[in-house]
Amino acid sequence: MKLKQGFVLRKCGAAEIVVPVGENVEKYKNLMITVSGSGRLLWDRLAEGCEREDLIAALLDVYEVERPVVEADVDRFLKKMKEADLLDG
Amino acid sequence: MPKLKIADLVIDIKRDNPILAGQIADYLSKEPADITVDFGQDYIEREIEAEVRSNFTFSPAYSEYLAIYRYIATAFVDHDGFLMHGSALAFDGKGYLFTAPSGTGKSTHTRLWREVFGDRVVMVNDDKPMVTRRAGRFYLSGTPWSGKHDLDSNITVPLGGIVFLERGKENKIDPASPDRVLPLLFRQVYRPADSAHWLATIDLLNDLLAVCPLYRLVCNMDKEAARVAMAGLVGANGETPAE
Repeated sequence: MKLKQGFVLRKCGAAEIVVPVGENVEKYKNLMITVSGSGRLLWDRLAEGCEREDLIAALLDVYEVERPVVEADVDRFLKKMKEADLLDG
Repeated sequence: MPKLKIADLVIDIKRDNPILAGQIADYLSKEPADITVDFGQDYIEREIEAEVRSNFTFSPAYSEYLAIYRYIATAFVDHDGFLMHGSALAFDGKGYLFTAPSGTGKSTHTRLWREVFGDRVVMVNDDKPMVTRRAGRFYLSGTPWSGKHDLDSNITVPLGGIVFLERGKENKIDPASPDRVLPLLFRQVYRPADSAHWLATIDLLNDLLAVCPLYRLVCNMDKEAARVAMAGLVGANGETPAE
């Protein structure tokens, strides 16, 4: 899986706003999603391209939480990205 | 069209719009223009087509009237300002912006303020005020584009708070955390069509969140709602006048 190209993150308060740039501006003109906390790490990994398991491992490296909690976080994040049509593969 | 001054910016509109012409008497200016609104018929036709596609049934003149404001709102971003949807009033000289999705009762709420507090309330703009940042502080400004009730004043006041309004049975106002209101805030801010202006708007909002008090107001349509809101916003300084 990989994030589609043509999006940047912009800090706003405690969150970062996903902003379409270039050719995506028209297609994603109503896009309104934010990334915060561990989402930033997931966003960066997905930008390079990786699998669900890599994302879970990345979070387990950084946060001291149980695996099921992390899995739920990752799945929620991936669902959000999929629904916003930001994922390839 | 004669030049207008909104906030501290002079705007030269190179089109004669009949709707706007009837609303600008309080905003005339003869100073040199900071913003020139100069788009051709192509632009207007595209904008009108866009309105039609969005299922609106506005007249060409009204679509043009809105297109002019969108153009100005985008240009305002270059001057550290943005348009925000909401009903804005000044109370004892300080500005408060009540925002919520359409139909929640923003205008109804600010009408209650006028009924309860009389002359202490001045309507800044009932629907689409401008917010500007000057020397690190934020201000609310009236503009002629003020919605169906046409309530606005050519004034600029320091922004004292943004209030996210919800309907409820009881009246209650509390400080709101920036995290919680962020999605609501973004829905109410004008989003320029190009990413450069949108990114600049987000930067302004980032600064705004750091300094501007935010509130969540649950309210009904009784006069009590205005009293409760005022007490929460202004605190002990704003004494409720005797009836």
